[in-house]
Amino acid sequence: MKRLIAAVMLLLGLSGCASQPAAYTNDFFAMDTFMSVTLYGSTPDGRPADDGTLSDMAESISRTVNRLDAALSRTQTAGDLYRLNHADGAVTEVSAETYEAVRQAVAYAEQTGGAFDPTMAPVTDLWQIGTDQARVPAQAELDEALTHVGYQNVKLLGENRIQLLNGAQIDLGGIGKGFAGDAVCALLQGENGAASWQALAALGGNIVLYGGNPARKDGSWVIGVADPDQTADSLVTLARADGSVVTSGDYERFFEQDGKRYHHIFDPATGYPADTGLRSVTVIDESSTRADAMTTALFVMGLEKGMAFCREQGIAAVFITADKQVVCSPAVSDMAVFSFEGEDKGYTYAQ
Amino acid sequence: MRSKMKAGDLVIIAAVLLLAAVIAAVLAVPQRGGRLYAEVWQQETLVERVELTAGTDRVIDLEGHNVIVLEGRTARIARADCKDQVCVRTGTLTRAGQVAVCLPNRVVLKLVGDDSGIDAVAV
Repeated sequence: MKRLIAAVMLLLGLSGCASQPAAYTNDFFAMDTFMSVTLYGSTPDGRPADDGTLSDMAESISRTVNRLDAALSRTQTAGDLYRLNHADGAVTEVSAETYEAVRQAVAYAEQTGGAFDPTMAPVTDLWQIGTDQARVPAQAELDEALTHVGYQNVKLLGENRIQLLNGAQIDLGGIGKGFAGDAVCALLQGENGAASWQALAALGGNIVLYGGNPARKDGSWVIGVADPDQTADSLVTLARADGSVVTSGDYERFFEQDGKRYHHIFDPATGYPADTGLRSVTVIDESSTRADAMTTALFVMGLEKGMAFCREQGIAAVFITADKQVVCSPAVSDMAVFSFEGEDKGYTYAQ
Repeated sequence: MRSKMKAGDLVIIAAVLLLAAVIAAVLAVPQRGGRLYAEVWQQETLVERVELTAGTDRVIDLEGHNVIVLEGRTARIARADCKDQVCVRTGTLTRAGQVAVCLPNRVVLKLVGDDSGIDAVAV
């Protein structure tokens, strides 16, 4: 009997897991969405950071995101973007941060030939998707609104000065969370005390990874790509140590009228929700801002044009189509460990 | 005498091997082994934390704004009085790390517990 007990004790000892460092989680609402930051920190001599150090960093992160929310929001009246949009075309000086956000938005608009366009505000205002007043606008209204749309109307004059021509209005909703994600990375990279950081930030479904995952031996974070019909589930997993994973889908904000779904990703060419047979596009990129802009652009381009664009520009994208296909661009295999998990939901995987 | 000792050893070896198999089976299915909790947050305040087990069967009604159903080791927001219904369409949460959010009502349902294999979902 003693021998049996000894053998059992040995077995139980062997099956015990090594202890993992403790994660610090901070949840908050910002940019009209829910955000959750999971943080690990360690001191230069390799000891886990104490709770105070972790909570200070978590606080800095939420402060940074809220600062950007105020600056880049169209509705917060004290912010830079609100001032710019209400300057009646006058040259407006903004913060270096706001200038950089607008500069990147315009650069991605140029790169995507306007498939992503940060001047769609007059069109989104007509649809009001995400509010109780959501409706299908009259064609005449859309035609008028579209005359003010075009990233060429944004003049970046240097020294943080911007001018909007032709009644243009900027909406940075398409890159705001991505830009915030990059700001979070910059914060983690900076000299904040003596600690080094590892983090996963889910900024309303935009995922930012930093420094590797201490809870996994290979240091990877495993990110699911949402099933459009049941977003808690994943059709794909992508494993990576850092960088960003961003998804745009037709299920995030929409309304239905006469049996048709009208979602929030608009085609700048028509003023209508992009109707390209896609449910979602996910982009993996070092820059969260670029990933954010590219998901919108690729959704508007559709599978065929979008895939050609990805090949040409080396963009890592996962397309989920309405006819239940999961299609990857070639760069995905360079950017993440990809695993298809949608088989039991009726999806097929095509490379 | 010697042969009796050998028989005893065999019993011990068999028992240990059986136990090893059971432990290996438990470890191979971590989702079933680890503890899982459902947390309900309202206006950034934790209002409920419930351990989910095979026998869990509970409905949490947040004054009619959101109805949360805990069933076995799953949780979902079954009803919401808001227009967008994003939280309802999120579906059933079954793993630690999954979250359903009702933005208009500032209600968050999240599962926490041991590592689940997926750290976050890009939505």
